[in-house]
Formats: sequence, C-alpha cells, structure tokens
Amino acid sequence: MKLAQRVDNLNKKSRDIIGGSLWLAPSLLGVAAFYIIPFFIVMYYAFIDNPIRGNFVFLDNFIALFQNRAFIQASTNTFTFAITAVPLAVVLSLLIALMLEARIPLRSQFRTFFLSPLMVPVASVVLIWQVLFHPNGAVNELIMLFGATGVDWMLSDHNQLVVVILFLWKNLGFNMILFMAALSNIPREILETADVEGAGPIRKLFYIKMRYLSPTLLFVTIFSLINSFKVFREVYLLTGDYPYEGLYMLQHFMNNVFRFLDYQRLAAAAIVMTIAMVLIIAILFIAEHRFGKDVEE
Amino acid sequence: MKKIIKRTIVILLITVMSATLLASCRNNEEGLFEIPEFVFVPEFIDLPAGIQGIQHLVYTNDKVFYTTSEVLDMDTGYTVSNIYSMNIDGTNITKLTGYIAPTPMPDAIGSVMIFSMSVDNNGNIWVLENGYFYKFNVPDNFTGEEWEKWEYYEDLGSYSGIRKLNETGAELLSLDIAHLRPGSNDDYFEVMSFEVDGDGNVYLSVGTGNGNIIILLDSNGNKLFQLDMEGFNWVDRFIKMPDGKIAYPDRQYSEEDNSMTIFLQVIDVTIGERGEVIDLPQTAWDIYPGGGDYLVVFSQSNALYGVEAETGETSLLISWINTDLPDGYRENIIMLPDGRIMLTNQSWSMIDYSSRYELIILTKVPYSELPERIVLTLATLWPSPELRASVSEFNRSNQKYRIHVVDFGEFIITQDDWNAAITRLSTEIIAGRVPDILDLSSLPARQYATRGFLADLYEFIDNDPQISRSDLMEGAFRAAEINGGLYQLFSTFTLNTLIGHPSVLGSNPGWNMQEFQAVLDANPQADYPLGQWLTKWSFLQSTIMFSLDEYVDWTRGTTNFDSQNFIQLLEFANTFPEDFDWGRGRSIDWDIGWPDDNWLSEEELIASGRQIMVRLSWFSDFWTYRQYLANFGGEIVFKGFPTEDRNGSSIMIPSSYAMSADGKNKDGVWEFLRSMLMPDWQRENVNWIFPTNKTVFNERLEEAMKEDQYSDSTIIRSTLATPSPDGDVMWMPPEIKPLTQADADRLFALIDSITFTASWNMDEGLMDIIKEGADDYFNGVRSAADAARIIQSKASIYVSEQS
Repeated sequence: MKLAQRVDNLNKKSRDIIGGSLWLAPSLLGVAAFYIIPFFIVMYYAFIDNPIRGNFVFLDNFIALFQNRAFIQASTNTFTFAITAVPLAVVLSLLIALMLEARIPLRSQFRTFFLSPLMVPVASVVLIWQVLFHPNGAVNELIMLFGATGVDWMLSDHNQLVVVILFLWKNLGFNMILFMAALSNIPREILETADVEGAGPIRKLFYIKMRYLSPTLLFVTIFSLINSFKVFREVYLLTGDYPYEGLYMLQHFMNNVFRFLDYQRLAAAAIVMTIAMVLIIAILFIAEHRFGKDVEE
Repeated sequence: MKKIIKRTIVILLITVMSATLLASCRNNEEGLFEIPEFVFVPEFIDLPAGIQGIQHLVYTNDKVFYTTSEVLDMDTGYTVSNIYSMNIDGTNITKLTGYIAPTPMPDAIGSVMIFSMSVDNNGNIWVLENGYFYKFNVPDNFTGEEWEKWEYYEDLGSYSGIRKLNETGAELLSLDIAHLRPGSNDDYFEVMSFEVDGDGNVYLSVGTGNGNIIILLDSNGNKLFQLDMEGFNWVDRFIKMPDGKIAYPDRQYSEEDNSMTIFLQVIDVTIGERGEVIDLPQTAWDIYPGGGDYLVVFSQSNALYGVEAETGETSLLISWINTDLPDGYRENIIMLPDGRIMLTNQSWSMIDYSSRYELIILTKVPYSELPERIVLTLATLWPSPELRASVSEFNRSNQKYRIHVVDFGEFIITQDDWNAAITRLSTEIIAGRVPDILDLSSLPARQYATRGFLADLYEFIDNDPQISRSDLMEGAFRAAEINGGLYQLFSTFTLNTLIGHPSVLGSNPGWNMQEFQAVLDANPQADYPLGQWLTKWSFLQSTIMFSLDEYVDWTRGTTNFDSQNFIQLLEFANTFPEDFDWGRGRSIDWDIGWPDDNWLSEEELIASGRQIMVRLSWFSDFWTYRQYLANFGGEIVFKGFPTEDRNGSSIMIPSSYAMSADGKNKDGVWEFLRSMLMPDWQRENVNWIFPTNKTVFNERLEEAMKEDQYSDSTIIRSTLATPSPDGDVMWMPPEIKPLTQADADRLFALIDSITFTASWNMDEGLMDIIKEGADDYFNGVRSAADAARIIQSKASIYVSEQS
C-alpha cells in the first residue's frame, strides 16, 4: 500500500513536472530563441575573425576594441555621463522627496511639477531642447542678459551638460515617487522614539531613514544607471549618428558599427559593456547588503 | 466533455504559439549563390546572307514573321523592307515574295519602309508603312557637283499607310488613313505605332500638330473612337494582352515627390474609353507582351522580368548574363506558347564598329542537363557591358569552369527599392555566403578588404606565367593597394587632377593651399579661375573626393579636417556662388531659350585668361589630353588638388572585381579575372578610357602621337596671349596637335606619382558630416575654423570606428 502510494505520488509529481514544462515550453522557447541563443551567438562572434572564415582568434577582437579610439571615446563619455548624472539623479530626487515629505506648502503642485515630464513624448522634449539650447536660443539670451557670451551648447565641450539637465528633468519625478513611497514605509514608532531620545533631523536621516531607504536607493541607482544608457535616444534625436565628441556614447558606437557590418567589434563591445554592468551592479548589491543588513534583519 | 474541449483548445494554442517561433526558420529563398534549377540555353538561328538587321518580329499560328531592311541604291539610300517567315523551330526561312512596298510617288526619291508589324488571329499580317519623299528640281543645264544638287531640293512630304497581307505577303486590304489627318496636308501627322487586336481592330498612335492621340479603327478602316494623350505623352508601342485586349505603357510624373509612376493602360473597345490600369515597376521601360504566367515582360540591360498575371508581382525571368548570349541590345522579345523565348540580339565590335544581328530562341532546361563544369558565382549590381562580354566569352570558351552571375539589381527592380540590393548582398556576405567573384563597382572595397573578405591578387599576378606587374600600369595598381595588397582588379582607370599652364601655375607638379591662393591672387583677371558651373559645395565636394587621403588616414583611423589646409579650402570654396546663376545676372526666358551671348566656351575662357586652370575629374583618354594641351598653348602642368603633401592627383576605377578570400576555386576565378588584363581583351573591350595593360596603353599613346585628321595647321588660330579687346573677333578653337614624347613622359610621371584612389561612391556618412559642417560656414552660422573643428570632431569618430 505504502509502495503503491509512493508510486502514485511519484507519478503525480512527474505529471506535474511534465505538465508544468509543457505550459512553460512556449515561453522558454521564446526566451531561448530571442535571448539565450543570441547571447551565445554574440559570444561566438566575439571570438572569431569574421563570419566567413570563422577562425578562433581568442581575445584579438577585444584587444583591437580597446585600441580603437572611437570605443575609448564612447566608453569615456558614457562613464562620465553616468558618474555625473546618476548620483545627481539619486541625490536630487531624494532631497525633493524629503522636502515633499516635510509637508511644505503647495506640496501636491510641486509633485505634479516634477511628475509631468514623465508624460511628455521624447520627440517633443528634444525639439524644445533644440530650441532652448540653440546658439540663438533662450538659454543664450538669458546668459547674455548677464553680460556673458553665448555658448554653442551642442557643438562644444558643454554638450554633456545639456543632456545631463535633460536627463535629470526627465527622471527626477519617477525617482522622487519611489523615494516618497519608501519614506512613507519607515515605521513611525522608530522616528518618534528617536525624537524622544533627542535625535536631530540629520541624525534621523542618516541613521534611520537611510538605512530603511537602502533597498530603494539601490533600486533607484540601478534604474538611473540603466536610464543613463538609454539617454542615447535623446542624444540621437538631438544630434544624429555622429554627435560632437562629448556626446558620443557607447550605443552610438554600437549602432554605427552594426551598420558597417562589423559584427565582431560589435559583439566584443557588447560583452565588455555587459561585464561592466554586472560588476557595477554587483558592487551596488554588496554595498546595499552591508549597509542595510540590520534593517533587513 | 468540457474538460476534453478545454484540453484540446489548450493543445491547439500551444501548437500555434510554438509554431510562430519556427517562422524565422523558413527558407523562402534558396541561398542566392546556389545553382539554379533551370537555365535558358540559346539556340542561334542561321539567317540568310546579307541580312542587315531584323526590325520586327511577330508570331502567329506556329509561324514567326520578321522584317529586314535592304539598301538597293547606296547613292540615294534607297532602302526596302523584306518580310520573312520561319517555323517556330527556326527552320524553313522563307522570304515573302508577295510583299511589294507601295510607291506612292514613283518619280520621287525616297522609299516606303515597314515601320511596324502585327498579326491577327486569322494569321494575317498587318503592316504600318511610312515613307518620306523628295526630289531635286535640277535645271536641264546643270553641270555642278553632286552635292550641289541639294540647292534644288524639294520636300514632297510623307506617306503613311496600313495594309493587311496574307502569309505570302500579298495585299489583302489597304486602309486609307489619310482621312484621319485633322488638318491640311501640310500639318504634322505621323503614325508612330500601331497594333491589331484579336478582332482585327486597328489601334494607331498618331502625332499631330495639336498633340498626340490614339485612334481606333475597325477592320475595314472605319473610325471607332479617339483618345487624346495628356501633355507630351505618346504611345511608342502597344501591348497585346493575353486576353486579346490592347494596352499601352504610360507614365505620370508627380511634382510633389519628384517621382514617376509607370503603368499599363488598357483600352476598352466596348466602352470606347480607357479601361483598367495595371501598375508596373518604375524601371519597366522596354515592355513586351507576356505569355504563360506573365501579363507582360520587360527587358533591362541585365535581365528580363515578368509581371505575374495572378499577383501583379514582378519577378526575374532570365538573367541575360547567365544565358551566355553575346553582350548586346536585346529586343523583339516574344514569349512563345511552348515556354521558349524568341528575341533578336544586336552586338557591336569595338574594333571595327561593325554590328551583328542574331535571331535567338531560348529554351528552359534543367541545369543538370548542361555539361558538367565547376560553377563560380559572381555577384554584381548592374553588370557593365565589359563584364557581360567577359562572362559570356568565358562561359562559351572555358570547358572546366562556368560563371553563374547573381545580379543584385534584381532586388531594385522587384522590390522597387534602391537600397535593397546593397543590403541584401551585405547580409549574404555576413551570413558567410560569399560569392567567388565580387563586382566591387558599387561596394565598399576598402571595408571588405580590411575585414579579410577578399584575396590579395598580387599573389596571383606574381605567379602568373603570362602576365606580371610590369606588364600593367603599375602606378594605377599601386594607388589601388590597401595595406600593400591588391584586392581589386580593374581593366580601366581615369585620372583626377588640376591642370593649367606652367607659366601661370608654376612648373612643379603639386601645391598646397597657400601656393594655390598665391596663384589666384596673382591673376585677378581670372574671374572663372577653375571654370564655370562651380558652386560652393560642388567645388568642395569634388576637391575632397579627389584628395581624400590628405584628410583621412583609414589605416591609423585619424583625420585632419582641422588643418590650415582644410580651413583655407573652406574659405576658398565660399568664394563660389551658392547656386550657379545660369543667367549671369540676367533672367532667362526659357521659352525663348539660352541667349547666345550667355554661352562661354571653356576654350575662350582659357584663351582670354579668365580661366587659368581646369579641374579634370574624368581624365580618361589621350584625346582629352591633346585638347587641353591645345587650349593651354601646347604645354600644361599636372598640379593636382592643393594638399599639404603636394600630391593631390588621384585615380578613379570605374569598375573592379575581387576574389573571395575563402573561395574554393581560386584558380578558376583567376582564369576569369586575368583575361581582363590581357592585351587582346583590352583592345576589344576598352575604348575611350585608359587601359591598364601597358602594351595597349602604349599602342594608344603611339596613335595619339601621330599626325591625324584633327591636326590642320592651315586654319588661323587664336593663342593664349591674344584676347580680343572688344570681343568681336572671330575666335577659332586652337589646333589639336599630336602628343610629343615630353607629353607622354609627363603623363607617365603623373600616373606613377599617384598614391590615392578616389571614388564616386565615397563614404556617404563622411560626406554628410563634411556637408553639414561646411553648410554652417557657408550660411554664416560659424567661422571656417569653427566649422573645421566640428567636422574634425565628428569625422574623426566616423573614421576611427572603421579603422
């Protein structure tokens, strides 16, 4: 009886597994076809000389990549932009969230003000930015009112500043909402206890709120990092395939190299970028785990 | 029950979802370089001796009829048409002795020729005959030369007639179309084409003084109705549709998007109006009636295409180059009911300029039935006449190899998309399907070479028993090298340079921008220093194109657009007009035409000192060299475009061919490619352009050094030093003299000094970057230095991406 029951259970388990696999099969096939298999194909392309011969060249493509001036330029620009824009996006949105949490007057109007850029289509934003930052645009008019000379924003070394402003304007609202939600989840009792104990606002911020915000901080940082790569869309619309050197991003490099059918270089660049992203995110996860460990416990 | 239904639906959904994942696995087209299942094999029909051309070819009731022309009197040019009949298999060629051309004006000079021919369903032949007549009213006591009779010439007008003939050529019916003339006999009236439908109705395309019209007559010549053509459109050919209706190709131009649509307009006899419209591709110009699955077929230089009756889609029927036909002009195409195709082919000899007509029947046979040979694939986009001739000759003569040509121009025709061809070829190459031979004429040779797709041809040249580097124009091949290797083989080349008189430009070849500007400053009278028709962009574009190596180093991936040379070049380009002022400050009434005094010949400008140099962008023959030597008073210097290294001349390669680096039959490919370097081949196929075989080059140079009909020292010529003060002096072009040894040495020195190959297919991306930056300067938005800085920033990224 027991054996029969065991067999029956085993059969039931097998049936469940088989049945589940069948249900999952279409999705798995799709993921395999569009994500997993292409991933391995990219790896293959990165280690051969060209698709015709298919000779294995080990790291030659990567060495050539790191010797390529365009790739170095694109990587530097992307890194510089991320280093500048992401911390600003995180810190500023946190400050705004804290400010709005402090129940200032016109709070909901401010919230609407920061959230409305999310609704504006990218193409419209780009058009407006082109007008604002044109050599004869509104920003230069304002600057010249104060006696300074106008700046050729998009075709000079100041062009990253334009895109950073655009990035912040577009993304602060969403980050702010995430922080506001996280702030509202901090247990009131702990804050009240801190008040009773005589803790000041700065202490409360760093020793209590930040600890509770650490998962959200991680998420917002990763999200902003991803968005910093997606800023290529706005830059492309603003400047085309070949912007002035300060705005030449990794994705420009990949786009253009793809058009030249240089799949080896493209594959190598994609792998380098993936490794960099994995490393950065791993570091962030470790930092969050260490910093917010006691909160999780 | 419910459970079973549910499970069945779920299984069906899973199957459908899974099946969509397999969509990308379909192989809807065989690999482009795989051997086709069928080919068309030509059979040449022996024609009677003396046939000078086949004008019309029609088919009915298993018989083919065609017309030829025969000159009976060389002095008067009296020519007659003959009609021949032939069985569908090419046998039993018979001249229709019953055909006698009409003689409407027996005492006049001139003849009536068959202008067009058709057949009806009863096997009767219909002919449209046109003729022009004149006479000489020479007085009885005339004793002058033969050519002086033309002073007594009288035009007697034209004749047009339509007749129905039986199968012996005898007349059955003559239609009077004179009554169709709308005005008097002096008014313009010409029947340009005609056709007969299944019911014997006659369709005429007529040009009149009031515009072009279509007139429909019944089989007895009674007018049924008339259709007016819009604007200047006319019908040069009616098309008989498979259902017996008649249509004509028409075009409509849209000014909005500057596009042309081509369509077939069917004429509906039942309603006496235009009927159905069938869209055709934009490239359907030479249209013939269809047959089998095809509504109509149209011929291009590279292939025959068909418009499918069921779907209206255009598909490739025959790639001419793969039929082993001699290269030539194909016309009179008939789709026979048994699936074979009959046509005429006219080819020309480049040696004696004689032409040859052939009547050919193409039969579709399985590829497996052909004699077994190793197949070499060749990818091309619109094969040149030389390539077509070479492939045809190779396939007919070589017993071991056969070349199968894949013409990517097919994708332009069938998909109506000009970029489709390059995209498709690039995709095939990246997928690893590389042809044995590539026609690089429209392809990025440098990119393919640096990616390792192409073989170094120097290895083959150096090991060839018959040809070596010294047998070729080495300077031209050196200029085409990429990283020391030769990856493209070419039989012709041209030169790009700036020329002028050494006393004005300096005797040393080459200069930089400062020296160039100094010459301009020293010649203030030269208001057209480089000639007319130049604008800011045209000058800048051509200068950069022809001296690109001055600004771009593809090997190191660096650019030099922020150099002083380039800034000065921008500033000089800015001195030209934005657009050329055709009226030179006056408005032109185009209805009246170009004012005589608006035209300034280059020779006059040079002779008067208003033009001091010439920008030669297609310097390709010795005649041009002789001409410019004459224009500049017998001496010129090849200065090239101004560059820092003072080496601003370049070569251009009109067409070149490459070998796949990974091909399995490199020996066979080399057998084909080397033929284009042989002297005999270049003598036959290379004309009016510099050949790359040194023997042929020297032969042509020697010809140019001989006295010939163009040298006539008895005519008084103007010289460089005697411009006319008041402009009223009769000016004669300078004498064209033979080349001297010094001229020859100068030319060789130029070719040997060149290190750069220019291309009309210059990187579009790079040119766009330069234009965008230059336009900002030309429009006053930025300074030249600022524009150069921006161009340098963007161009350096562009170039380093590809290095």
